[in-house]
Amino acid sequence: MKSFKRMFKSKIQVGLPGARFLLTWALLLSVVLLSSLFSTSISLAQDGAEDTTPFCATPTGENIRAIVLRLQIQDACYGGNRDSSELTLWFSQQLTAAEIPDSGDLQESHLLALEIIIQRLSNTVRSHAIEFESANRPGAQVLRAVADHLASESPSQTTGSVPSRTMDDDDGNWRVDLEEDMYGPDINNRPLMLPLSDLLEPNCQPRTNTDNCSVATETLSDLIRVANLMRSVNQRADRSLGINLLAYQHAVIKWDLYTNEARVQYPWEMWVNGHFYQKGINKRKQAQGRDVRLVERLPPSHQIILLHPGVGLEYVNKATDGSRLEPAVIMEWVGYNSWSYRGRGVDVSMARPLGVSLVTTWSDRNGSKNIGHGLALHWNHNLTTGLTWRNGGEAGLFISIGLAERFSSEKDRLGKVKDLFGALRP
Amino acid sequence: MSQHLVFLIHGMGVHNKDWSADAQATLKKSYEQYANLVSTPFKNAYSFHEITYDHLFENIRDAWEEEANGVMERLKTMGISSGLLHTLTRLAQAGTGDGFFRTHVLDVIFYRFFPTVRDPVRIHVAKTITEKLNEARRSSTNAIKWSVIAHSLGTAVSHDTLHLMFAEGVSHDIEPLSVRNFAPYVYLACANVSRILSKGNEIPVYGSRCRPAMTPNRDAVMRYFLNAWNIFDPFTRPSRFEPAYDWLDARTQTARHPRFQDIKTTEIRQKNVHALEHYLENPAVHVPFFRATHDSMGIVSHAEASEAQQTYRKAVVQAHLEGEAEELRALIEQHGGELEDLLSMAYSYHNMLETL
Repeated sequence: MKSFKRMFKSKIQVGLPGARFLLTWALLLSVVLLSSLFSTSISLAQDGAEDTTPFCATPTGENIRAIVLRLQIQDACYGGNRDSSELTLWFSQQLTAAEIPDSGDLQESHLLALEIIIQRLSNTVRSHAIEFESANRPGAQVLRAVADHLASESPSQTTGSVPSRTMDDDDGNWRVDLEEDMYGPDINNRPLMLPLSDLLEPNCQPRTNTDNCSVATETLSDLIRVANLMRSVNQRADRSLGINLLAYQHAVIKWDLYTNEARVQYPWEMWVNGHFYQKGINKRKQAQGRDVRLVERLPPSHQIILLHPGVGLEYVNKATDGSRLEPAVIMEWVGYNSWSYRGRGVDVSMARPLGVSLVTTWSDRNGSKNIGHGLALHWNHNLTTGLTWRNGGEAGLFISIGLAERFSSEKDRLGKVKDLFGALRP
Repeated sequence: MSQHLVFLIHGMGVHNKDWSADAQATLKKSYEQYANLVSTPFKNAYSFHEITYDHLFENIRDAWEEEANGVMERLKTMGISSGLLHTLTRLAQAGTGDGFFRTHVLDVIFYRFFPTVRDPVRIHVAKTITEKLNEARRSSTNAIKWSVIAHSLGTAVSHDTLHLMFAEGVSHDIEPLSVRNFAPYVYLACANVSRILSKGNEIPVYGSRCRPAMTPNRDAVMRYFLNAWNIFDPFTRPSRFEPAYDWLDARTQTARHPRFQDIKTTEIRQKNVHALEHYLENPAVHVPFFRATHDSMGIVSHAEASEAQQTYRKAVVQAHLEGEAEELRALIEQHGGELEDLLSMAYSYHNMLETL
């Protein structure tokens, strides 16, 4: 510092008067600039403080109701996206670093990471309990009970291949319901803690502007934070979400195949097939004594064909020349189409789709009866071929190409089929 | 907390992408009226996800159309204009086109009477919800809160989906979705038709787990159930959803912040009284929603709620829709409480809106 002063002094002394003037101005300017910069940084800090600090400050109020309302408004400050507490930042880092998979069993490393998080949350509450005990404040006992309960809640209770979740479900999660004076999961149908009756009321009545009340409010803020973080741990470690999601994705693809790949069902066919599908669901429901879950509601692997009109081409050899191959309307009176699903997860497809129907065909031709009765075979859902017989004994061969083939127009469709028949002719 | 996820589930009719934009804007505008709420910007408080299932109905209608049109074309060429073939083809064609029957009524019929259409709809909704929950879990370390706003036919879809999503199965291969960790927070049903559509159905509406409880469990999976209905909305009248008091368990009945709220509204501020936005703009509907999603009755004070309701009523008076109210009243009085009444009223209501 001394050497800096010396150097500065010497420079002023050796300089010209004009230079001295310039230097003085430069000094003044830099002082102004620095001070303005300094004041800017102060005002920025103040702006920042206006944004966050007051919002997340420890709530105060004239009475308990006012404090509770402030806690509810500030919910995001306790384990939420406006929380910059050391505990929440640490929690966020730890949970992210744990890299817990969406589905499947947790490995030892995941369980260990969760164990460490839960212990830290438990210790946070325990340190409040110790503080309350040493200051002889009311509420120490319930705080210790919360800390103990947290410590006993290992991640294996919230995940794993042998879930005890059904039991936990009835106990609820780590909720905070200040309106109803409830905190934590239920123990024998009673909340683990009554945050108002156990903590705020004994410490904040008759006055709220006391040390005891301030500490109790701060402690309750921490308890809310812990409950929210604990809920996040439980959600993260829960494997039912990932498993159900995979099952839904699988089911959606199967239903999509059933609706869009299998043969088109007219309303009455859809009604009949739906009736049998629902009958199956009801039967299963009755047999198992409980609902058939959505993930278990997979589409049928067959369909009944009933009164299904369609179009195609029919070839009758005994008809007069030029009238052998004619467009026909094909009525499928009754039939059956079945297939199987292959593949797992989201990679599912239909295999071996085969079906049969009793049919009647109508066509307009010379030298032969217009109506024929017979049998149709379906494969790959949209390809149908069959044989018909007429009163006079003439046989017909027909082919129907499903609309799923999406020929651009009927003319094209007929053309393609005519080509096919042409190729078959000797 | 991180943003509260809100799933919006539409009613009957054609719904394309962004169908819920108006409803979201209505909620945002309402939210910004209340002092305690605005301390957290709306976009930080809620994250909306619209669920569209209309395309599942649309696919079927399109398939019928293609199949039946091909046959009809051939029948015409052959000069056939009567008989069984012609009748069946005409019947299949009845479900096609752009009329009100096709775009609205058929949705209800599909959902009510066709199990192989109904279950894919429920599964699609459940998949979308679980997908979003999983995304939220992946992208943030904050605990997830989620709610549903359903409208009209969407209330029946939501009711059934929520009931079956949390059902326990016999097999342990796929664990049931955990109520403890993923129970929905608030279910807001606007123009609830789940009761009439559950008649004769496998899920009795008052016996389902789509019900609120102080501590959500397998029998009652949500924290709050808000049932909003307007007395002039024809869709809410046949077999109205009105559970008995003991529908809630004993502990939930004593809640200070009511877990089930039957919200009857009487105001008409726009001609389409059935519209989702018309429900959401009413403080009688959005205030309970904001309170429930924040688990706090005080988040919107009593004074603020009263003032908002007064302001809204002034707007209602200025809208001068007394004539429409009378017409709707007459329409409702002419009908009974069965599904056919609902469909018939829907038709008349649609015509009424067209002419207004």
